[in-house]
Amino acid sequence: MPDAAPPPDAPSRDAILAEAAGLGRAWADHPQDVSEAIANAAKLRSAFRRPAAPAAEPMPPYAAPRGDGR
Amino acid sequence: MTAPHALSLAAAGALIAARQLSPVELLTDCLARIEALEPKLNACICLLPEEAMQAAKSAEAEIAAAGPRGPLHGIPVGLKDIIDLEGHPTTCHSKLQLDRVAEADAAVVARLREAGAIFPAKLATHEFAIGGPAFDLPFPPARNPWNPAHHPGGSSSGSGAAVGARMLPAALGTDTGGSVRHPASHCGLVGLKPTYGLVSRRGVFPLAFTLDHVGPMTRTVRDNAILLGVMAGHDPGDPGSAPHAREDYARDLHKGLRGLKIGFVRHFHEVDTPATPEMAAALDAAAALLAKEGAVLSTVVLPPLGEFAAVNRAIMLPEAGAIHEAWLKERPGDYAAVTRRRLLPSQFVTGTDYVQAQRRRRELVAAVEAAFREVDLLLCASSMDPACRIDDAAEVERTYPRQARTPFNVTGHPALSLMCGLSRAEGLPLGMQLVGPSFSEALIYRAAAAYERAAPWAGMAPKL
Repeated sequence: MPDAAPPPDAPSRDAILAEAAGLGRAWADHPQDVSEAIANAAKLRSAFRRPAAPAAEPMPPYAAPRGDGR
Repeated sequence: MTAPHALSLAAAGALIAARQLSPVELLTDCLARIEALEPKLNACICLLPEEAMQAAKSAEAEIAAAGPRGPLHGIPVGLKDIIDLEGHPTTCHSKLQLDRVAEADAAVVARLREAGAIFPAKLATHEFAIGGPAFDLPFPPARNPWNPAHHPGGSSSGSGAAVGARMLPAALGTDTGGSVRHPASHCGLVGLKPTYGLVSRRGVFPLAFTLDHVGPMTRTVRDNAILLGVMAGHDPGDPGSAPHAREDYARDLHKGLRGLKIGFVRHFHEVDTPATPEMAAALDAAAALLAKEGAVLSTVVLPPLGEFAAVNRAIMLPEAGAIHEAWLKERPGDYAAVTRRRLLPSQFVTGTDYVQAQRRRRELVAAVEAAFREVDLLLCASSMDPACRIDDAAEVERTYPRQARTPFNVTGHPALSLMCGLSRAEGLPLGMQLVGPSFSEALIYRAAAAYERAAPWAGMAPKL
């Protein structure tokens, strides 16, 4: 069964995302900036090709500490 | 005789070494030039005339007694105001950092100070090296010395304006997505983003840890090589610092281009992000001149520019987001509007996107490395347009991403921007890039110096 329709005073998707990101103040004062930010971040998901090989390593790779703080 | 403020770093250094120019005379003339032009250009956030004059007098006395320590002794160098100078605020051009006084010199400043350089000014930047040009900050944005109605490029905007305007012979900038090379291109300068890890980032306010570079900005190739020679070197205090021995980067400037193989990455500006016809023609003319001087030109194909740009963004945003998280949550209204808009997406990029970008980064590095197995250097566009008017926010927003600099922040390869033309309509400089394998800065300088000698741009200066 699908969820019931949200009540009319339910917060918008962007308000929920802003709250989840801890950006309540930014949402209150700059809601348009936050909505644009959500849209822009979403665009990045398809903006570059994902490596096909499951084992493709990131760069820079993790390296074991050398004992000198590096 | 050339006025001291108009001398190149190398020329001023030679005159100082020959006792024909004192560091005090040089600084006095540079300060007078700054005083005359600053109201027009807004290049400086903070002037330090007394402290600098004290240093110049000390340099003068030391040189008189024992000769210069090296080519930077007594030379004024400007610092982008995200670089720490002990005892002075590093404002990052932001309301959020007005009171943060640096407790120590940045590592790169300490190296310059040891070499005898003098620091008369902290210079304007885009807020936190990302938000600008902006008019809602505690300091106005720097303007282009070739035409103050236009922006100078950024984010090292004050560095570009000050060196281009002959206020200072050299300055330091930083480059995360092109921020040394952008103002270098728009202000007719030589700007180098060195190999990642060659110059220490310790004491420089970070934008993105794996993309940030500190680079020299000068009016000549030789000056750039001299400055890098002091800036470079391993720093155990910077986790990204490379264990690479310092070099004499000016050693091959005289060698010319004969025999060098240069790959022209045409698709960046012809297909991926089409440049203005004037910009494209300037790049063609530069390629023809490089060939005439003895280089062997070929066409090289790399992954599309958009891939590099998106990966740069997907890495830069989360790294910057980690640095700015608390302020974005607690003081979002204290950023300039443009900074806030550019940083807020950082809080919504997923961890998966970030790691995917870092995985794709390895493939992009491999593609550029493969090109360097066929050619010695790459030639490509820097900006696709001349600098637009600074008060045209829509045009600023449209043109800023139209560039080919981010690929080499992603890969870490050294990339140098230098002038290759002048726009007919506005009389603004056009720039190109020469890019080399990791730690090939001396080779890049060799090719750039040969181009500089053969091209007509070196003697040009803005009319101020």
